[in-house]
Amino acid sequence: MKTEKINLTKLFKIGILFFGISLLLWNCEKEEIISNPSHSNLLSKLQSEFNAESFKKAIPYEFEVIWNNENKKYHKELEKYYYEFHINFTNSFNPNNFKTKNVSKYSTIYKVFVVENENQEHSFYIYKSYIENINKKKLKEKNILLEEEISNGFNHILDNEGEIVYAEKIENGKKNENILFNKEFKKKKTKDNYQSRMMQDCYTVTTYHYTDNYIKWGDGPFTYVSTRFNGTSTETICDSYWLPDLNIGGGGNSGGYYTNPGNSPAYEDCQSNSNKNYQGRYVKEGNPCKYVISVNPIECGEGYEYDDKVGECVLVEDQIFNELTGKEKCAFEKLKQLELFKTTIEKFGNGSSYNLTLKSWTNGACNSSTDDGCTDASDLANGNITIYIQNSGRGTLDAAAIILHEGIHAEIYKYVDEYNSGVDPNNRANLLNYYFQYKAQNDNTLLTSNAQHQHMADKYVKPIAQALRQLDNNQYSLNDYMGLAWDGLRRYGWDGYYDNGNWVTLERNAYIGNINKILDNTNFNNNCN
Amino acid sequence: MKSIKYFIIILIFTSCINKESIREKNIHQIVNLIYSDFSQQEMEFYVFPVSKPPLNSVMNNDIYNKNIIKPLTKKDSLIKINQYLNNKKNQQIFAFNLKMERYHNLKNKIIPIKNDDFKNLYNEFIKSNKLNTLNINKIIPKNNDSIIQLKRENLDFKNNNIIISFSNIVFNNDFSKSIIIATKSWSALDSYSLIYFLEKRNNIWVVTFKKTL
Repeated sequence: MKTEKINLTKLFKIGILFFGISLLLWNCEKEEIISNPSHSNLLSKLQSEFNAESFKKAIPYEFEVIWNNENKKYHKELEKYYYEFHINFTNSFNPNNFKTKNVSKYSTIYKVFVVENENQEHSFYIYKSYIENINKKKLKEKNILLEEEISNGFNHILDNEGEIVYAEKIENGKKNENILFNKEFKKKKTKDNYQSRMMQDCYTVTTYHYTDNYIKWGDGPFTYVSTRFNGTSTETICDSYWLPDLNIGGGGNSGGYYTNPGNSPAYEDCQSNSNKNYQGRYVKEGNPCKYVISVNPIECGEGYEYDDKVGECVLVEDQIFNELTGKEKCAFEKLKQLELFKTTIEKFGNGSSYNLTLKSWTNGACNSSTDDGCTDASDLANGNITIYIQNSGRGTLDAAAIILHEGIHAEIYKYVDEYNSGVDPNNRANLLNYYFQYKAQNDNTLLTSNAQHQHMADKYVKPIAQALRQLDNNQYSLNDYMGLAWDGLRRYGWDGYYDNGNWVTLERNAYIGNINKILDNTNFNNNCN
Repeated sequence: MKSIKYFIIILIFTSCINKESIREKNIHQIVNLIYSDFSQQEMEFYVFPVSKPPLNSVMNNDIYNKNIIKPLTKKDSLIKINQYLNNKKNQQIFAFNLKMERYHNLKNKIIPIKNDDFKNLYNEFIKSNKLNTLNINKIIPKNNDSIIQLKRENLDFKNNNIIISFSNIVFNNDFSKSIIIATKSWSALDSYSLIYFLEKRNNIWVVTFKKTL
């Protein structure tokens, strides 16, 4: 009798278990990932239909879509099937590199969101997630365990105008039931619309407008340079519940776009100007505020540089005195367009206290009649460096190679002088290590010459060759230009050099290249008179 | 009377020859001294090369001293030098410009000279245009070097590693002090020059002061 009772209890338990599992599966059914093998051409179709340019307002950065996900999913709230694709930013000017990344409460992730209708037609959107950056230290202080991932934030779906067509809020990893449906996703029947009436309450928000300026040097990344405060404005915000950029004091719980902008001297703490007694977002009293920080990419044109005080590109007062004549003068003018020129010689044009003078043949300059060029830094204490081009060879790529070689010397003299005086804090370890080993004093001695040449052999051979090849319209392979680039450096490169961070062992006299072939066939500077 | 005249002429002539001979002898002594110094530098450059700095490291002298510079014992140094010199591939070819002619314009150069004798000699050096010629056979190779005469076809550094050239030279009257400029070129974009102030001590030339130009 007792056994029978136990069996019944067991059966009952098993029944409940199976019922529970069925219920669970039933609930999850529509969220299962549906892999559709018939969509073999789907990706190419989507790729051809999607135009990244038309979504510039939604993603204001250059990006490419990674079309590698054929998994169709079902969106329960939208009641639509969709695909999603990750993106890669193709330019350094993107949110991952912004200064605001460090002070923002949220990290943003963009995806391409493709909705499929019953007729297998597709509409494109941008899925933008704001994920709250967890302050683990703070959570620990509050004895909040971190065993489970705590995820807070927002998910927005944006149309190509950058407007929110759908928004949801995530709290502790769960979707909040209050969801914003907008435009084409707006529910026809009021009862289907999760959008709470309460959420539609509108109130006035003070917006603090800032512009962060990012400047790009050559092909380098955009680097933050300054912030400009553009003033404040007020606006009425109604759907703020789903917006991450509102600063509300007290228990508003929506959080601010910046956790504490006061930590960054660039941004004023807008909350300090608000009513500190404001108790939550739905109370009409108080003065909620938000930041709108726009990012401004700056690329100054030739002859211009960014002026931090003015906040824009200004015409540079040239610190490079070009006294060259003949073929080397033409070669110098053409070199100005190149990256290597910008990162070396052009640094003298930034209004610093250094003057670079370039001179053609000068009696008694350099060390001997066999010298093609040299750099004289004997007046470095007064900020004067002079490059002498004593023999420009055929006056084509060989002249350009000499100018680049000597230009690098000049820039190294300038850098070390600025580093020693604390003006330039950058630690160019490779160069400084050679200076240290040779006990070089940044003067005109052999020790300094050796240190500079060792560094140049490690770091500049390939860039010089690339520059020469570019001047020659990429006529031959890079290796053919290495011979000219190694001129003056072979003695120091006999063991090897760094190529993009990787050490390349080199046999003596390797990479001599075919100098004559290059010089015989180049058209560079041929028209110079 | 006639024989006395001949005697005086011969005396003057032999005296001149003797003085030229002394001058030439001293020139080659000095040139050998400087070349020897250059040769030593060159050998040491390859035998004891500087260490490649660690990639992407931050310059830190303490770390550098501990990890990079490992001093060699005298025995190890000698072994390395011998290994280097015994390998024919390491032979350095020095091409000597036999024409001793000053290239540098010294008018704007500041050379700190303390000794008055050298000051006077330096003034003479600046004004001097006297040319000399070296005799390649009087230069003694060092450190397994090969010594050749610089010719037009050697100017591209294909057949030689180093070009050595000297300025004209000045001596004081008793050939106990001298000034000369020596230039060492590894390529048309890599050279350096030193001005030497030399003194003869115990019949041997020594460098009392030298400065990079």
